[in-house]
Amino acid sequence: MSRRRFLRTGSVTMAAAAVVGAVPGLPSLLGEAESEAPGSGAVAGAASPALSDAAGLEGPVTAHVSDLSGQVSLFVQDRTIVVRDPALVARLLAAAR
Amino acid sequence: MSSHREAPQISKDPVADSTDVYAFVSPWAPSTVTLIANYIPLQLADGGPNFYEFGDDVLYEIHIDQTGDGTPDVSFQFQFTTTTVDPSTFLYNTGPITSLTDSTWNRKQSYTLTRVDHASGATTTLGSGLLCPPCNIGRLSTPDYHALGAAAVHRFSAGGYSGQVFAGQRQEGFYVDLGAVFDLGILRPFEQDHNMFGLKNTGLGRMAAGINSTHFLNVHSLALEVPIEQVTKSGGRPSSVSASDAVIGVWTTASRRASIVNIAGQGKPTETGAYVQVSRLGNPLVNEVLIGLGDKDTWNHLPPSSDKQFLSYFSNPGLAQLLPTLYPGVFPNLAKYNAGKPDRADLVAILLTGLPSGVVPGFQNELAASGVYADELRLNLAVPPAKKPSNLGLVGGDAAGFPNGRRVFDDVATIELRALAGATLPLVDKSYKADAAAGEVSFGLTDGPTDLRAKGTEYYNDGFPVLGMPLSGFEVGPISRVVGH
Repeated sequence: MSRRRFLRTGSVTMAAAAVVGAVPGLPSLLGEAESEAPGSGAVAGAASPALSDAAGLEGPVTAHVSDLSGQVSLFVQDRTIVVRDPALVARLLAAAR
Repeated sequence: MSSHREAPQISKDPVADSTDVYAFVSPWAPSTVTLIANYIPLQLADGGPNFYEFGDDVLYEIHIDQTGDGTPDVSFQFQFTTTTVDPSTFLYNTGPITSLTDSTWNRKQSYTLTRVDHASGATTTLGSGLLCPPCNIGRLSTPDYHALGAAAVHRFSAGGYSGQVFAGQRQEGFYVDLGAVFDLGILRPFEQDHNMFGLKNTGLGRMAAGINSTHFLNVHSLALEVPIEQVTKSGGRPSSVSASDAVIGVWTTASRRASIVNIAGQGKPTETGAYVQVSRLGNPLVNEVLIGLGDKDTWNHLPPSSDKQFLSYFSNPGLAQLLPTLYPGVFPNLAKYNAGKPDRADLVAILLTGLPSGVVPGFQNELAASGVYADELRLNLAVPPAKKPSNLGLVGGDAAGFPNGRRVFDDVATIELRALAGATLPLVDKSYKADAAAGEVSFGLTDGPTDLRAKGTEYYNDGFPVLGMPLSGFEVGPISRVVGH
């Protein structure tokens, strides 16, 4: 998706509707992602979590991307978590094409 | 509903649409204050089979500002849960409902009331599992509705806080002639003076009685009565009208989850994320008739502390500009004033900061931190209830009425109309002489300032929860009201 097309059409929202398990340390992972290393958005030295690690997270997760700053809002249960993860945003936008 | 369907987005979401806020020292118990926030406008009494109810997915709040910064210091939160006894039937009730716990009431709603102290972050559950009354259906379904309504008044005492609370259907208490005023500003008692836009054969042309559009309608009401000391900054009762803790600001908000996702085949949407404000109301008629269409939705999503950006709607309101055009020759002084550089400091004070000392002898309700303009209902808790109330409130010489808080019988539509017409401009501009018409114009819905029942179309209680018993669907039936000219 080109930058021009994204800005013309507005935000992208994706919903992961399946119930998944808890990702051990998910909040801390997200917290670390807010001050991510430049480029990949991943925490240096940390392995990407596997889907199987998500056992225990009850309920759907909705992701919302509204611009190309690398910021994504996650809506889970009664919380809104704002994460800055350009690599994640890029993957989401790629999936949205 | 001084704020009903007032903005494009919220008009499509009646469950979260605030209609009125009232705040007054309780006449039946002057050591307490009564706060009322109403939602779900324009309810037909016979609105079955799915009768009106609060939203389980909406966070309703009544906020108190104690410092004038436009942010809440104390908030009372209402969160609802609906249970269906027998999901196999379409019926709201399967037999007469004679108590709030009857199994014949198929769709019960209850709520949790929580007090939030924002400075400390402390939350106190004041009550949970509190039952709402059913809607008033008719002689068979709700044969003794008085008893049901009374049973839904709950006293609470928790964490050092006490009071009583009610949440449920009541008769609509705001009276206004909606059909006329939104037909290009017709005021029926003065329709002969309307310019009629050059149209012929409109049927207008004589003085006509106003019509209370809400006469046969209901609303859902959140009502709270608490000791005054539980809402003041000092934690005590203000010693005088000029005391630093005498004035509080009150408004209501409704919030929804940040994300609402509809999935094909799934009956209910998936709602996640923190609550986001979608509706708010402080003073009557602000978003309704002052804020422009381009800003109404944004206004609803912002706190009062953000209202400085909307200042021009108050200092030079469009409706005040329109009045001399709609009624040529009736408001000559206002017309001349408008042609200059209008700066309605009176309206800014009434609606966004409160009136300081010295403007009205013996009265003030100023609550505004430096540089803050915030739409809040400002109530001076040291002003006792009036022994002989006037529905014109402060402009009628009754300091216990609007804009000092708001009582259910205050004719806020007429009060604000007169203010817009210039009746309050002399308070801030001694050189301005208000037009005679500014003190006479009205919607024609009362028999005068001492009429507290809007010509018998409103049925208020003298005690808590104040608004009258809701109209019964069976009793009201279809509304047939055709005005011929």
